[in-house]
Amino acid sequence: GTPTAYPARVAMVRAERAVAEVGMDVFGGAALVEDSFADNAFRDALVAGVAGGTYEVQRNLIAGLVLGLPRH
Amino acid sequence: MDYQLSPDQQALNDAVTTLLTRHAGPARARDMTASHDDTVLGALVTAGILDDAADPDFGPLAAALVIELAARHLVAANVGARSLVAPLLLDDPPPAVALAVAGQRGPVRFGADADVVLVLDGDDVRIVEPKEPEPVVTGYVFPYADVDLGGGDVLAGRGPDLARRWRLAIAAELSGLLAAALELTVSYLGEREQFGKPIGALQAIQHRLAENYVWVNGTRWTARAAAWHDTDESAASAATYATMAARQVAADCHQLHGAIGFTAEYDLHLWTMRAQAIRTELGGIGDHARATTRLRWRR
Repeated sequence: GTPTAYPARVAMVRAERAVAEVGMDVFGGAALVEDSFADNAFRDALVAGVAGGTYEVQRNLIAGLVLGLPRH
Repeated sequence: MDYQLSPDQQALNDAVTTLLTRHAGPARARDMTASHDDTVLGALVTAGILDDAADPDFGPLAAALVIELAARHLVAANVGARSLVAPLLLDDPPPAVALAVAGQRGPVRFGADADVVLVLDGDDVRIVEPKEPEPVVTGYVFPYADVDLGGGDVLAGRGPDLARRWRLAIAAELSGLLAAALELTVSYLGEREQFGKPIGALQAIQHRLAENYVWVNGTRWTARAAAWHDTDESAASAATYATMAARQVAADCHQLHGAIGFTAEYDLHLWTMRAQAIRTELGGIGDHARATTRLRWRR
């Protein structure tokens, strides 16, 4: 079947980033306090795109293995 | 508007760059993490650089240029508050000035180190001297503290002036921070090789860097133009644009660096984490955008 792991990973990173963005915007200065919800969400979002295979690699895999596009 | 710096402005730029290259920069910033740099602030005050905004020959644009440079050089002091806000509201501003909004959630940047905190309270400003501030730990490089923002002398009706100049300072500071973060990223990607060539040679990467450059350049010029005009609307607009840019550019610079960008040894976080802190100030993007709309269309 079509690989679902790569799009799922990209979607998850996007979701983490969206939550982190809203957190930063809504909580204001309280978002800076160490270990607060928004602080943790922000740090997680930063790392999410790199840890366990970068966001870019996921996109390459989607392009190649899901969409069947030729390699550069 | 003439986009070249005048000879006086260029001279100011050069003088400040020389001073900050000696007194500030990434190595100094690491020593000054979560601290206030009295030394560099004192040097700027002594050189008379922080009072140019009140000088009719220079005006707020001169202060904005200084703030940009101070941000780029990672000065651990509130140059924006002292050079743009305080000269407009106080007759004899002290060196260390902090800014806050009455009832704000979250600690005050430089709250424990400020001689005075200027508090935006509706349409008024209150001048508060911090009594027993309580430091708050954050990962966002600047020192923060909880400060009792009650009381103090009232400057009736000066709220809009404080908000306008604070927004100009935010835009100018983000301009310097984001430009430096992007330059570091471009430099790194131009050299770092993977798969037999520099990552920066890849078209997809180049496109992203180009997009980020447009954000950074836009921030720079909307901030400078707003400082030149010194109107409530242009300041709100510049702050809105700058915070939009900060969301995009800071995160992308980290993503483009990969894992090395998260290490404490690498300098990128010195700029990007400061940008994150400043994007939450004065109500953040929501308040800047709402203010821009209200001021533009009088709703």
